[in-house]
Amino acid sequence: MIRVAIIEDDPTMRGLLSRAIDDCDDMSMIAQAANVADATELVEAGGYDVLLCDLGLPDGSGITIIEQESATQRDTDILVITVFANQNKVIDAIQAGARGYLLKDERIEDCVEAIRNIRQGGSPISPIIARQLLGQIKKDPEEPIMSMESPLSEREYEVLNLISRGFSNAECGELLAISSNTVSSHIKKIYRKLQVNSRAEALFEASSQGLLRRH
Amino acid sequence: MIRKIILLVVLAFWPDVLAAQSDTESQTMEFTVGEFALVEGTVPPSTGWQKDVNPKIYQLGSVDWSFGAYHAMTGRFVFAGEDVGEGANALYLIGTRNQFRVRLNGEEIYRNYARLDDHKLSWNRPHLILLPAGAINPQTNEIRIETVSQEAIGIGRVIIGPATKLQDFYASQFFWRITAPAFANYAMLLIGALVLLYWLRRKHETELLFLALAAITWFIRYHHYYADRVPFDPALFSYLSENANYYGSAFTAAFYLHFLKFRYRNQITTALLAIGLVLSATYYFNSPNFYFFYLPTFVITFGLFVTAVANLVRYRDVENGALALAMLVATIFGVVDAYYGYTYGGNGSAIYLSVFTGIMYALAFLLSFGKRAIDAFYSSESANIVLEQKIAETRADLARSEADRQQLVVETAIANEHGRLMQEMHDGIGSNLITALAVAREQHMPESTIKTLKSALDDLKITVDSLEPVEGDIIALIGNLRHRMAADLKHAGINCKWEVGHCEPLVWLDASNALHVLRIMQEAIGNVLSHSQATELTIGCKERTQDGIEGIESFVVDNGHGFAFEAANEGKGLRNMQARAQSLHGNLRCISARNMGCTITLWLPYQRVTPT
Repeated sequence: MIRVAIIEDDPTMRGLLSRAIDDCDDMSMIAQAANVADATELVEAGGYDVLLCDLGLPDGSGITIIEQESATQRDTDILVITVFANQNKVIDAIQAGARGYLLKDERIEDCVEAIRNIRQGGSPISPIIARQLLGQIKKDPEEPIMSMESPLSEREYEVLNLISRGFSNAECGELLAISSNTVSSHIKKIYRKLQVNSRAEALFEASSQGLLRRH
Repeated sequence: MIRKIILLVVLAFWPDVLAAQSDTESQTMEFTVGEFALVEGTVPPSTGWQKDVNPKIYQLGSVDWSFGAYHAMTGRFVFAGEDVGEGANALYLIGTRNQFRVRLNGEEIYRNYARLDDHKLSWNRPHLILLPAGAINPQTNEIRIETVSQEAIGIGRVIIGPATKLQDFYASQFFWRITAPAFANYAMLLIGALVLLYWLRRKHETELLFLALAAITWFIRYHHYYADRVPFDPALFSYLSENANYYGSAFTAAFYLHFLKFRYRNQITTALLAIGLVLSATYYFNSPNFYFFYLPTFVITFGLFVTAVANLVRYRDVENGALALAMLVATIFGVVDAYYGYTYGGNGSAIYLSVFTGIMYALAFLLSFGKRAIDAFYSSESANIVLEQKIAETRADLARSEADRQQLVVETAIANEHGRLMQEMHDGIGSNLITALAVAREQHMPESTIKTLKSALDDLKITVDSLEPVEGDIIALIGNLRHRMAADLKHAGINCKWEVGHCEPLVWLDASNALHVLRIMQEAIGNVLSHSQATELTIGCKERTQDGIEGIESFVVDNGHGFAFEAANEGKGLRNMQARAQSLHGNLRCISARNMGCTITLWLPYQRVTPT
């Protein structure tokens, strides 16, 4: 049973998703919140496997909630609920700890499938987001992948490269002679590394600015 | 060339000492014996003669009086009239000290002083006294030299002979004893003064101070060689001259060690000056003879010579060569002069060479220093050039970074505005459309309503995608569209294939152009979805050259039933696509026939040519 919590300020959307989830035999909606304040309590309480989170909440950004959830270090998969999956939003969310996104206009069965998929270890990605991630990795050609806190493996790099060139997960799988599930699990790993690296980067910046003190 | 000139000058003025001695047999005659009388006081004696060899000098240190006590001495020399020629004759004197007059047969024919306390310096000064015509008797003649002195006293060499002959000898003696040392010494004083002035502006260069002090001290040391009279108190003058011998060497050593940046230069300089003070005090209170300072001076000079040779071996260059040569010559001069002093006792037989030591040092040091200064000028000039280049580079960097900054300001402003609009579209229009669509689906509204809402949402998504920064990467742009439409295609049962080749970025592909590309491709794929009943769809792009212009061709190929362009809707859609392609400076082609599927290609050039 996949336990799901949702943070979404639009009641229609929230209702639609929660009904669809409750209709599934293998899932249950266990908590809901419509703003950052309620969501903070929800995160404190915990008890879910997948957290669906909208970013534009009336009293703040969903990124805060994602960071709070990540800080608990529970085995939770966080999915961002978004209209467009535009790159800056998605990448910010991933760096905060999200592992994927749900498009709000997706068919409800596709949404449910995405929740199952993330729980099984796979994440969605679009070519433009893949391209942006590659760009971040290659930002400093003098210090390539190896110098990152958690460098990408050769295979993960290949996956990212193929996706950025427009290939679907299935096509990537064919080209690399792996299953499409493996491809999407590579993507999830890439997201995790992105979060680790961005956290390391933030820690480095914080320490270099004297925000952190060693005792 | 310079060496040859120096050699010629030296040969031209080479002292004719040996020639003079040998000539006494023929025409000139040197008095090697005489009768002498010495008394205390200022009145030269005319009795009490004692026969002795000439020259006869009483040096301080070898007599029982000291500085300041007057003594008077007379020397008598007798010769026959037939011993000299009948032409004009002259008397040559050297080494007679200090105030003296000469009588020939009782008549005074010369005196070198106006007052007895004139303090003349005649020990190294040659005198040529022309004898009055007819003053020489055919028989016996007597020359008396009456001299008065407050220090050493004596009569040096006395030579009589033809005036023409002695005149030449006198000229060369005068040049090497008086003119050349005076010139060298004043030149050195000038150098010392200039260096001192230079040092006052550059006080951190201690070696300059020592060079100036050395030059000035050597000047003091050698002034009495050529000066006509003592300029002030003779005792003090003598004391300074003797001390200067040591201090000249000590300052020279100090300069040289500082010039070489020798590690222990300060300690050695301090030690040399401390020894100097002890020597000066000892000399002042005990008044030993004037050789007192010679040994320590010689030790320093020899030490400098060894150092200079070591440096010459090490560096093998002109300046170290010049310094080594100067030190070597100084050492040789010192030895030679010591030998002369010992052999002749200052009777005027020898020309002293050490008087030229100071100027040699000064010139060698100036050469080295000048070489160093020229090298420094060159390196500072090249440093200036490097500096100017660096400044120019820095300016260019600054201009570039300023341009970058401006660019960044613009980009940041655009990005902020972009972000604001995206937020608006996402949270406003987008969310509202999503909610409307969800409500319509939930309430089972007519399919046309749902379709309209969905198509509005798709349009919005494409607009958002066109705003994503893809830096001209058309593959990612079309790939993203295909990714967006994947669910619809799957739902319609169409198998979608993706075919891409290598494509370079399209540099001109900004947001508005990207939107045109996306709309064309969306329309093409939308047509396949709505009308074609295709089962296979291939989307992709590759490089293709059209009319000799390199570019990228994007394509949408289906295996549907095709169409013949007569349908009004399709015609309108196609016209819109053509118009967009035209504004992209591209080329849209549609190849289709009934039951033959449809191929739509959009060719875009890498470089846009502005139509003339």
